[in-house]
Amino acid sequence: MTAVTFFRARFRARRGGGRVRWVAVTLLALVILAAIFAPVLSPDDPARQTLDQLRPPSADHPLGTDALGRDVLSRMLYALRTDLLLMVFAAGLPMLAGTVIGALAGYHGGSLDAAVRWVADIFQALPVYVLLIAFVFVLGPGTPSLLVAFGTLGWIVYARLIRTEVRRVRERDYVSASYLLGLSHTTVLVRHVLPNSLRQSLVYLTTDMGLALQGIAVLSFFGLGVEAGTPELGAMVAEAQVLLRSHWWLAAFPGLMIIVIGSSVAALADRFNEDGEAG
Amino acid sequence: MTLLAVDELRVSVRRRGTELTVLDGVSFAVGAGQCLGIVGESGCGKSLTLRATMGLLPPGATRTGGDIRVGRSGLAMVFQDSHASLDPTMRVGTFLADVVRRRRGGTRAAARRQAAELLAAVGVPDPDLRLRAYPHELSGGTRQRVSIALALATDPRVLLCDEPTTALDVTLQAEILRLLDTARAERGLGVVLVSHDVAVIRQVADVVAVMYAGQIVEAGPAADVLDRPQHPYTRALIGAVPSLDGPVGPFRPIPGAPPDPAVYTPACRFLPRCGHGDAACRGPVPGVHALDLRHRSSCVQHSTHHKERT
Amino acid sequence: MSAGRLRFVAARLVQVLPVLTALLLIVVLLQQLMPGDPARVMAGPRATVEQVAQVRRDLGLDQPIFLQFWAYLTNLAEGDLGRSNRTGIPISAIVGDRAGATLWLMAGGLIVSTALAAPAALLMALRPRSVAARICARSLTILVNCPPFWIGLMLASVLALRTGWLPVGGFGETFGERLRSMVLPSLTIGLAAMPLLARSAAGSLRQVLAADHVTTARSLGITGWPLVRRHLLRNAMPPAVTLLSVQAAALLFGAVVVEQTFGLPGLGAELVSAAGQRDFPVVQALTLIFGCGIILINLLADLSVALLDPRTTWR
Repeated sequence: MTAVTFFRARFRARRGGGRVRWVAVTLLALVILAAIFAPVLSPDDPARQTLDQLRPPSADHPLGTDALGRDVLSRMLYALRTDLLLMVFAAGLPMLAGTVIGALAGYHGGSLDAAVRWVADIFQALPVYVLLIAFVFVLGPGTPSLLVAFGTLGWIVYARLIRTEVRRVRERDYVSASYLLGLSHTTVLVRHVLPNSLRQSLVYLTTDMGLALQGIAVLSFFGLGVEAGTPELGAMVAEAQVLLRSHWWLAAFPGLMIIVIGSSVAALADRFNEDGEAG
Repeated sequence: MTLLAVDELRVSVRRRGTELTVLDGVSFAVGAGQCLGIVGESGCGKSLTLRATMGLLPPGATRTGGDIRVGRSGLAMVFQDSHASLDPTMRVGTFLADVVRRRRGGTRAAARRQAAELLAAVGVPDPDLRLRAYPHELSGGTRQRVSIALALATDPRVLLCDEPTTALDVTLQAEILRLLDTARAERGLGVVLVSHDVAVIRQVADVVAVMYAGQIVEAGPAADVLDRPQHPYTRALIGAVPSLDGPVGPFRPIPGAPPDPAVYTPACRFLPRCGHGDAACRGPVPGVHALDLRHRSSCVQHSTHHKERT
Repeated sequence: MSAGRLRFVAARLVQVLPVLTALLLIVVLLQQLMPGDPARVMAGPRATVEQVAQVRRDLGLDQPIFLQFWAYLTNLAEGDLGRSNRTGIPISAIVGDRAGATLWLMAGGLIVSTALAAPAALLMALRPRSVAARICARSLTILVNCPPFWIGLMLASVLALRTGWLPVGGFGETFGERLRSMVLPSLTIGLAAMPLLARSAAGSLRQVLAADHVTTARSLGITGWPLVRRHLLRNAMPPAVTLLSVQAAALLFGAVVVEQTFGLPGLGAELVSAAGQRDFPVVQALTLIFGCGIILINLLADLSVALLDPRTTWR
């Protein structure tokens, strides 16, 4: 390696994003707090239908009421709960499944590893989003089938990451040393191999949460996501679609909320990435 | 006649928010028909010196000081790795004719003819056939000849060569060095050749500058520097090269590693690896330039010995 | 074409087979995943026991799974995709009817996203420290997190409902109407696909920019637009095409969303409405078609990238 390539490898453009990141963290914290304290903050019961329909924003209803006379602000606060929880689980479950599968495959190797790699290769070449619709359709709408569909299709990336890392770490001396000391397979895997492998997965998890949020919103927009009537941001946009001409805010605000959550999470993901590059 | 003079060149690199001075007052000059050899371990800044002179610093590196006087003459550069340094998607002839036309104008056909002549001049057999080849289809030696032809196509007065033979085996190494030497003699080129290999430097250089940790530590006529080295680093560097023509000595790598740019000081930077340091080495040591043919080094021990003896 | 290249093409074609088989298997097995008795679901809630049994026999659901798979394959080979549960119309006819709008949309989206992404990528790669590039990068982070249906609705709200410049939905009858009706959907899908495209293109441009051979070209006095055109784009194109094809699946998903949002009579809208009405054969056939489309796009991208690269002489 000559001097020039050395410096090129060492050099990483620093993004001067301190302020942006701070804004992102604050926004995300606010959103999470709003979701936690939704019952306290809501002016009204999100499910209570009234004859006070399609009111523009006012003191009683800061974001107005929807076509069924429900308070939109309350629905949005409760929708935050739905979307944040679904986002975490729809991204977290695949990570959990992928980590377990990848760790086992990487650690034991052999035919299990070959099988996992084969399945992963094929899944990678399949159209994930279309299968997502098909799976959710087959399983019927609702939270459980959403999570099953995301879990079935999302584990592959994590399994790959973990498998590669496990195989790499496994080759290192200290693992074989502790193995010789007579620790069980599980102990070696959990204590020594996994902590070293998880960092990359976490980076990907932050990216994945944004994708999951979009996926949930889109499926709910299609009417294939959460159960009808559950407050959810994508579903709220869908309900407002026919009212776009007269009540544009009904579609605008839930959509903005999705963007705020997604962008803040993405800004955090950037932070993780940078840490990864520096370390 | 001096074709290129570089005076007090300083380059800094940004690493995790701090500016590190990696080239610290490098000065050298090269005249017509002269070959300056810059030698040093990898990481000492010799490639960066050429890149800075050429005005092609990698991202993150900036020139913070110094003066580069090129006169009316043009500069061209030959790179180390001919595999990476030629555009893989372009036929050799297309690229070469492009460069010729940018420089000299004329029709496509004329540029093509001149490209073939250039290839023949650098000793590529069957130039018309080679013009139609992609870089990956050529052997390493031919590729490096093509790189030299490309550089010569811009009619430079000074040729900067960054480890031009490192990627090649010994036989090819000698051929490429001979080719550079012929080009120098025939065209009156000034050549600056950078290498970590003392044997290569010995073969072609008239003047030698030894670089260590971003500075020139010893410079002078090749025979003086390589046969009567003053600086302990130069001595170690020569000792680290197995020699066939000199007295056969054991191969001794230099113990330790060069310092990181983050800990560069005005004191002697070779001190931690040098066996003969004292308090004087911990003070500021003199800078050395290669602007003329006097033999000098930055080693304070040597100059005191020298004074004692005279 | 040399023997090495032919071998490469053959090897890549063979790689498709297991993926295709897996897709077919999944599509057939989807039925088994449906909760409850598929025959009962398809026969409808008011069907008698006899009717359900009849449906089961008709569909071959009483046969072992590999026979079902074989039957599906033989039908497929004859171009028979089955019939819609709701309307009884052959699915091949539905597909023929609806493919047009989807293809229009994909083409429009590709044009818009490329037109938007190319300048953004060049800006971010060539002048990474400029204010414009920073603003561009930040806007992309926000844009990538905008749900496509929301972009569509907001565009429609401003450019169609408020001003009446463009039609809100539909597909148009004449060529001119059709073009006008494609503007909003194309813009939506283009905006949704553009951030990832721009980022990956900027990434591959940056990589090429740092490559040694670009330094060589610059040392020979080649700068500015000739450098970009002759050396940067040529080398950045293959990785960009590969990344684009990897994102084809997302683009197709975007098409589904946009068709639904703007009421375009395309395959995606059909998939969503069939899924909403639990029309299994249609969902099955469209999943297969979309899947094959994406596999084909990836295959073509891989082949064109490999064959355009003069270095390809694999094994």
